This record gives sequence, structure tokens and C-alpha cells, in this order.
Amino acid sequence: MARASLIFPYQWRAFWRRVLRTGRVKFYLSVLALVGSVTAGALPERLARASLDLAAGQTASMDRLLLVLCLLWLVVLGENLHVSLSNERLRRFPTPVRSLLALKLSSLFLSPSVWLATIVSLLGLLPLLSARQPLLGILTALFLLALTIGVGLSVSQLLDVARRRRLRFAVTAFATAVLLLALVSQGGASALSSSLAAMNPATLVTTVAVATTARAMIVPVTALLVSGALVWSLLLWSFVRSLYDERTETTARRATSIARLPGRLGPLVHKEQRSIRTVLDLWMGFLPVIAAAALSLSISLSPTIRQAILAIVCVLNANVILNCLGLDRPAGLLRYLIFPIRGKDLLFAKNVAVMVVVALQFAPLLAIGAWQSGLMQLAAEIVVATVLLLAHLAWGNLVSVFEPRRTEPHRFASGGDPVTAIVSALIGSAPGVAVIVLLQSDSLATMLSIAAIILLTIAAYYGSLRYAGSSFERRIELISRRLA
Amino acid sequence: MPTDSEPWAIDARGLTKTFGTVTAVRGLTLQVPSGTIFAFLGPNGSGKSTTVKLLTGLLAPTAGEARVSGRVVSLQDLELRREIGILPEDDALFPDLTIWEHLELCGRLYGLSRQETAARAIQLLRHLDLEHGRTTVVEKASFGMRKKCALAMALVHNPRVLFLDEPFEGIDPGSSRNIKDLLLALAERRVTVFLTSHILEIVERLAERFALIVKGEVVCCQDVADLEREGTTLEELYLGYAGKPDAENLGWLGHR
Repeated sequence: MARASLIFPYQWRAFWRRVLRTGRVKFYLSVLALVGSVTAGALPERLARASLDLAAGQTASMDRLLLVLCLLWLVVLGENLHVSLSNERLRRFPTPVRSLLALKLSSLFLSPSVWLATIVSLLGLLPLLSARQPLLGILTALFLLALTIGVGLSVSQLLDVARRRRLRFAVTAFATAVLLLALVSQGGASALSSSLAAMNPATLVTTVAVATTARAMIVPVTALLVSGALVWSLLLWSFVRSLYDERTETTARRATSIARLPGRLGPLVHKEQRSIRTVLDLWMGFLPVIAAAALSLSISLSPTIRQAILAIVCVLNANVILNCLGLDRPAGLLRYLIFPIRGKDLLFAKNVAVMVVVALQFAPLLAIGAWQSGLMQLAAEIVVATVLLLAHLAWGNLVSVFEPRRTEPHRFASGGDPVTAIVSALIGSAPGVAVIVLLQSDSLATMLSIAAIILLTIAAYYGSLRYAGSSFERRIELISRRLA
Repeated sequence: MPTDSEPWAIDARGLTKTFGTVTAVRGLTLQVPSGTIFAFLGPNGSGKSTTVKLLTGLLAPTAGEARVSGRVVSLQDLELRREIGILPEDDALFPDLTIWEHLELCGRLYGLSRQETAARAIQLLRHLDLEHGRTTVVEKASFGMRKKCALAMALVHNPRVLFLDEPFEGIDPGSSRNIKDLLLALAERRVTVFLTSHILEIVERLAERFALIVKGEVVCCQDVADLEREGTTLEELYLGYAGKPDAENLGWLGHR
């Protein structure tokens, strides 16, 4: 561990240099503002209720609070810190694996988002002071949060390992869906809710906190300790696997493409497609579509619900669309400049690559629409999908060029600061939502309004492509520095 | 030749590495005595850098075994890491640290005191003509500066075996001369240097022995001095094995 403490000061220095160089301070400030205001607004009331409930021996509200804290940590761990002193580069030095792991764990606390999560978590544990076993309750809650961090890190490390990555991702997506379902079904009375609630690890903590006898604590404490041992083993194992992964050497990778497009920009679209398929967001975008498709086998979904799902899928894809240069590196950007293409051509190629993937995401819903509601409805949904996508791309091209953020393959796309993300989701969705609302009526005026929205969206997309394209050419130095 | 007290500095037997269906290195066997400058040559993609990674424990072999300084090379052998110095193919530097911070960190990780690290770092930077750039953050440093920084990092702990992947690439003539002199001096002090390079003139003047790898297999391994006796040059020998690309089909170049 001495090696880790030796390296950490350098890690700290390098991290903050990078934050200042890439303008990430703005991101942290807006996270602070947003999470701070949400916490200040919502937490006191929930803390008070959980305190009262725990004092009365009721655990449901604290269970939910703890689960939210666990989810908060999983979200926070999703932030890619891009640490300068990566383990991959440190492993040529005589540094033991455990020191490298200790460095990785301590490096998590470089991020102000993690400081914030720590403060919110400590505040969130305050209601446990009202429980019958305050000390044990707080200790087990801290243990649970440590377990969450361990699981989050293990998953991220396993996704780093190239072999069978898709299978691991599918398992992760399924587990995340179950976790979210557990959160939303808390307090429900159905059999599914109660079985999901029983799987909530937070109940182990609250059982200890409200226990009246030592005997009542044996099962939950044992379960937590066994989980702790398992998570620690998983963490260490996945760390070693990711440390010695041979991903950089796999030259025999299959070069597949979901579509080869003709024309001068065809090969560039092909290359972009291969890049963006490594970003997890787009795969998550398939989940609501698959869920809706599965649901529509038993019930008929209304056109408005299908159109709303199209809008949700676009929002899930937003980080990819808002950061279309994120996967590029300075050498790659220079290569784009060397090619005899304009900035707008490059952005258009990137947009087409996204459009192809999004078309695949939308395809099942559109097919269901045609099957259940007829061809007219299919046409309406194609209009909604096109307007949604073009509006997101129009705004996304501008954000991509003016706020580029580095994204790593096989990770979620780097999100911008929360304010930009919310504003972007609103701007990108507004024309599509307007069309969805207007489609409720079929008067001539409505049709004309929809036509006007379509034309305006196309014009906005074209304008953004030209402006963002020329700005890209002017700002390439700055963008390179941000993505380095 | 090795003795009981001083084994082969590098001893690889049947070293093989496959990635999926691609065999990058096939049955590599070679021995390098201590105090030798050994050049490992080959065309791009022939398996040179993979061999360096296999010999330094950065990559596990699919088959075969390698020993460096008498120690079996394995992924987690920290003692071996202390014995060797590595200049990797891609420099493997930390973009947000200065050149000085790199050396400072590196020396400390190899167990040197702060004072000793600083003293050695100053001397190395001076020798490599990098003193002026010591406060430059690597992300903003030139390619040559980064290469020199990585080379200084490979040397700061005074290793017994040096693995240098393309050490002369992007280096100015003055520094290149300094590095050559330094490597010769190290060899005189029984330090073994295993280097890869595409600059055959430098190899011919510097190395005592070389091996040529083509498509993952060593096709030739001999002393540089034998070339003269055989009346050939390293370039001729290299092109004989690696082949010379046919430029006839490029007749369209220059005609617009």
C-alpha cells in the first residue's frame, strides 16, 4: 500500500491539471448546483419521515432511501475520471497488484462528484440514529455502500475485459433493470413487488437497525459479511483480469458493419458506425423498445405511447448525439483535417452513423405500429421519429463542437454538465413532442403546423450542420486539447 | 557465454503468443549473453514489440518460457521489474505530469530515495539534452521529448537488462549520438541491451549481435561482425529475408 500512497499525490496533481485543461470544472460546478439543490429540497423531508418510521420500527422509507443512495453511488462511479496514471501504464513498474487496486480505489475520491455523494450518503444515514440500534445500523449501512462501490467497480472492470463483453453487458443491463424495478416497486402490494423488495439488500441494514434482539441480527449480518467476502473476491479477480487483459493486442477482431453505405462518405460512416457501437448508451436504448415490443404482444399499445417511447429512446441516446467527437483522439481529428472533406461532411457522416443505429432501435416499434394501427399510423410515427432525431442531431452537433468531452469505448458516453443535459433533452425533444401532441387532432391547420415543424427542423439541422462544421474546422486545436 | 554465476541475460525457449487466430510470435528461441547490445529487427507487424512485451512480463506467452537475468518471466514478478528497464513502443507516459515528475515518480517506485532520484534525474536529463523541458507537461511535449523522457525512466533505477523498443525513433542527431555512446558505455559495464530498431545503420554500428523476425518467426540470428566476413551488409540481409516491396505497380504516381 506504500506504493499507492507514493503515487497518489502525482495522481491528484495530474487529475486537477486535466480538469483545468479540459474545462471540466464547469461540469463539477453544475453537478454541485443541481445535486445540492435537489438534496436541499427533497432530503430533509425524507430524512424526517425515515427517522419517524425507524423510531416506530418501520423500515420501508429507510429501505428506499438506502437503495437511492446505492443507485447514486452506481451513477457516480459511472463517471469516467480519465486518470492520468492508469494502471495499464503503471504495471511496468515494480508495484504490487494490491497497491494498484488501492490506488484505483483512492483515485475514486479525486472526483468532486464522489465528495458530493459521500456528503449526501452521510446525511442519508442520519435517520438510523433514531433506530433501536443506531451504531450497528450506521456501520452496516456504510458496509452496504462499500459493497455497492465494490460491485460497481467490478462491473466496470469486467466490461473492460474484451472477452465475452457482450454477455457481461447483457447480464449487467438485466441486473440494472431489476434494481430499478425494485426501486419503483417499493411499497407496492403485488407479489412481484414483495419478492423484489425481499431482494433489496437495504432491508438487511434496516433489519439490523430495528432489531430488538441479538438473534434477529445474525441472519442479516451474516448475509452482509458473506456478500462482502464475495464482492471483495470479485473486485480483486476482475481487477487482475482487467489489468492483464490483452485487448490492445487483438488484431484478429472481426470488422463487421451493420450497413455499408454508398458514396464518398460511405467508408467514413462505416468507420463511425464501428466506433459508436462500442458506446453502451445506444445498447441501453434498445431496452425500452424491447420492453414495449414484448408488452405489445399481450396488449395493444396506443400510438401516443409508442411515440412517447420513441422520444424516450432519443433521450437515452442523447449523450452519444451530444458528444459525437468524444471517441476521437487528437491524431484522428488531425486525420479528418487532412482528408479533403469539410467539417460539415464529417459531422454528417457521424450523424448518419447514429441515424442507422437509431433506425434499428426504432424499427421494432414502427413495425408494431404498422401491424397494430395500420400504414397511416406508421407514416405518422416515421414523421415523429424523423423530427425527434433531426432535432436532437441539430442541437447535438453544436454541443459536440463547443463542449466536446472524451468518451471511452465500452463505456457510457461522457455526459455534459447536468444543466446542459437537461436543456439539450428539452430542446431535442420539443419539436417531436409538439408533433406528437398535434397528431391527436387531424384538422388541416394541424397538418400545416406539423409540416411547418418538419420544415423548420430540417432547416435547423442543415443550419447546425453548416455552422458546427465550420466551427469544428476553426476550433480543432481546442477540441484536440479537450479530447487528449 | 553464460556461467553458473552469470546466466544468460535473456534466454527464451519456444516462446509463442497467439491472439485469437493470429500467431504474433511462433516458437521464438534466442539467448543473449550479459553485456551485449542485441538488436531485434523485423518489418512492421512482424512481432518485435510483442516479443519485447513477452520478455518483460507485460504479456503472458501462450507457450514457451523466457528467463531474464536467470528469473522466469511472469506477469507479476516485481523482482524482475526491478532488474530491467523498459522503453515501451508507445512511451506509456502519463499525459498530465511534467517530465521531471515522471522521473521523480519513477525513481521512487523503484525504491530510490528522493535525493538520489533527483541527482540521477538531473544527470540523465542533461545527458539527453532535456534539461530545458523538465517542467513541460508530457501532453504538450514533442514526440522526441517524450521518447527521451521514457528512455530516462528506463534508466533511472540502473537496470541490469534494458529493453528499448525503437529508442532512436524521432530523436535528434545530437541526442541520438549521446544515446549510442551511453548504450556502449552500459554494455562495457555488463548491462545487456535488447533493442528494436528500423535504422539499420545505427544497429550495424552499435549492436554485437542481432536477430531477424519475420511473420513471428526468427529467421536469422548472428553476430554483426560475421556480416563483413560474409561480404554482405545488414540491409542486404534484411531485404533478403523480409523482401523488397515491388514499386512497379505504382507507375501511376506522379502522372496526373
